[in-house]
Amino acid sequence: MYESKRLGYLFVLPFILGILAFNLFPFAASFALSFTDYPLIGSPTYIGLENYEKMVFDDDLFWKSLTVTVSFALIVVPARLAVALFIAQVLNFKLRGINFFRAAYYLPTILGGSIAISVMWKFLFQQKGLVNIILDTVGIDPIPWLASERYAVWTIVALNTWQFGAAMVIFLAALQGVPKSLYEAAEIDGASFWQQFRNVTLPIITPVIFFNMIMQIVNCFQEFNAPYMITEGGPLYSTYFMAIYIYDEAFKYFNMGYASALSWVLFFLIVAIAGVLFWSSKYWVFYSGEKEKAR
Amino acid sequence: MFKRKTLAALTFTALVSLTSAAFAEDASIRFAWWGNEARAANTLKVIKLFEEKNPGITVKAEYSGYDGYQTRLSTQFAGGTEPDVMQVLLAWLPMFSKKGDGFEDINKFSSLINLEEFPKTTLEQVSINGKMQGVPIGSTGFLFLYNKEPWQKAKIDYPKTWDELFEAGKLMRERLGDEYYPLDPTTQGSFLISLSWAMQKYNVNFIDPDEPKVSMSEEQVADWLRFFKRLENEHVLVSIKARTAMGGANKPTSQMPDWVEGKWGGVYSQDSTLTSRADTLTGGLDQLEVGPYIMLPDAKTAGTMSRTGFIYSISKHSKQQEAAAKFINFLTTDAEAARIIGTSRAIPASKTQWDVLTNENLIPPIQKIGTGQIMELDEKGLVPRFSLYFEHPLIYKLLFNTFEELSFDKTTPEEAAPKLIKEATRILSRL
Repeated sequence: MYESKRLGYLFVLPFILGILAFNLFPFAASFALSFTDYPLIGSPTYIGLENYEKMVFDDDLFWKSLTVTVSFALIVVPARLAVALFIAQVLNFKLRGINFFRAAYYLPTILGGSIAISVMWKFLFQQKGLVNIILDTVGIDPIPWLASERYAVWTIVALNTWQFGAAMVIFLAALQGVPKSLYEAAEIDGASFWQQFRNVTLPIITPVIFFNMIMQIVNCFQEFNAPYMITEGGPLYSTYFMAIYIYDEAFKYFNMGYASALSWVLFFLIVAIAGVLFWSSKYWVFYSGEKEKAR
Repeated sequence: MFKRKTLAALTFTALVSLTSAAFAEDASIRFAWWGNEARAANTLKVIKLFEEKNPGITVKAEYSGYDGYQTRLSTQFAGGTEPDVMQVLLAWLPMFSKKGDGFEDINKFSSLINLEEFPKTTLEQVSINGKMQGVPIGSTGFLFLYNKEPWQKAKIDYPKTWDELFEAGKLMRERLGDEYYPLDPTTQGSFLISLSWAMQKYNVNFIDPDEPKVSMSEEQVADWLRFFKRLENEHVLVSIKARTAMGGANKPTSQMPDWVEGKWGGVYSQDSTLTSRADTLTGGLDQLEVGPYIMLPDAKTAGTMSRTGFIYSISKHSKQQEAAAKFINFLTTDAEAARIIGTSRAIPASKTQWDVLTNENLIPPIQKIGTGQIMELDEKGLVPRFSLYFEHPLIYKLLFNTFEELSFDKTTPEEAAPKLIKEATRILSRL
């Protein structure tokens, strides 16, 4: 028994060492660095809370990037969840060739985060890109997607919403787990399709909605590839996400201390939002067997 | 039996010693640079030649495009894993080697690198606190480079004065259409072409070349910004806004479809980039011409930015510094290397390489004209000095933000000028 335990620890040792060296150590180090002025080349100097004070009271760009990131998350998370749930619902029907469609809808997720897709997206939305060519054929004037403060962020929103595959697969699994007997009972009671979806499907899959929501929020707050490649954070900082700001400060301007402080603010923001969601979940997330337990 | 064993042992020992001696002489160095395909191909050939001539030294090439190169280098610097030899932009020195201790002092290798090949003033330019930060590769300067097709099509001569440039903007639009412009300045070119005019008018640079402070007055800066706005409004420059809509304010001219299709009449850029501008043109270099440097009458300076563009530096952490120095010497002073590299980086700074390229007619005629123009301006004392801080990423970011806001009509030159001076002063005081 003791021998097998030791062997078990030995097997997980590389993973634990990896976590310690590449996750926990940088995590702790970045927290310490957030209280320093660290120009990357040279040694860090302790400056207390100066980075955080500067951020809050003397950095318009921080507030701008925070606003862009939060607004983006507010649009993308519900949009992606709604699209993912809708498509999952459609793909839950027993149709001919359904597996092909399931795979096809999942494809953008595999491709979506890549640089190549971002480059393609840029070509689609530039002044003489495919989107404007199509608009032109239906008599709509070309839209300066990438050069407009109003529209630029929507190109990133569109790309992110298109990557709904991961959430969709999880929704699909949840939908297939809803007991058929409940639909049969609802049907006998005369419930319409919409009533069944609202009163049977939705409550039962709330744990999955909750899980997907947390995952999507974390992803959205860390969005980097698409705005960096498609709009370079512009025009006029309209797509300047927190992740780009952190990257610029760290690797373009060598302010590693300030970049660490920005990372920690982003981290706390994600933790706070997740905390609120966890707290609120007791009011809207239903786990099977909860009532029985309460009794 | 004893003899055979002794003989075998001796042979083995001799073999081991010989092998270790060979290993001791072997050196492997890493060499990083950025650039286009032509530069990469030429550099790889030179590396091969160097390895043939210097058995025991191997060079591992690490090359990429300009985007991300500095980021990668800075990350490597932070971890002390930067390449042994690296191509470095002179403007990065305030970041990588503020006090001259970021790179190995080249003076230490004067027996391996023939420093007498280089002009003294150039070597001074690349030194901080008496420590030479790298070996100069070559000088570059900004000039007016034209694609002759749209000019011939519109029947317009290359402008010699600023008024003629504005007239060209008007005529090109009238005769060829809205998509035709005399110049694509690129983002940095936007600041520099308008600054060139402002310097010709006021004979003062934005940042003092001798100390990190703003030299221009608020009115002078406002005039500079007004001139930029006029260049955009009067259809002389492809605007930053238009470039953004086409897929990127910072995208190189040669990658912009309108340049490839011959709709843009030219660029305001460095003579070292001549060949890369021609890469995507069907007529190649033959399609390009260098125009006269546009001047105000009686100007005491042309306002063009000309400086040692980049250098080869040696890492402080390198364990093969002597091999690195030998390699740099080969790259910058060897005649055969010059024949291969040609002008794919710049017109070489060393005497031998310059002589080889000129005597053997290896400099493309247009490059000769371009470099000749910069040299002529320099001889006349019309090339101003620029502060290293002018190209610092924080100053670049500030200028980009200001010019972008002007281009998008989010601010006026009068509003932007005091803000630009205040912010630049704040940044410079911190640097």
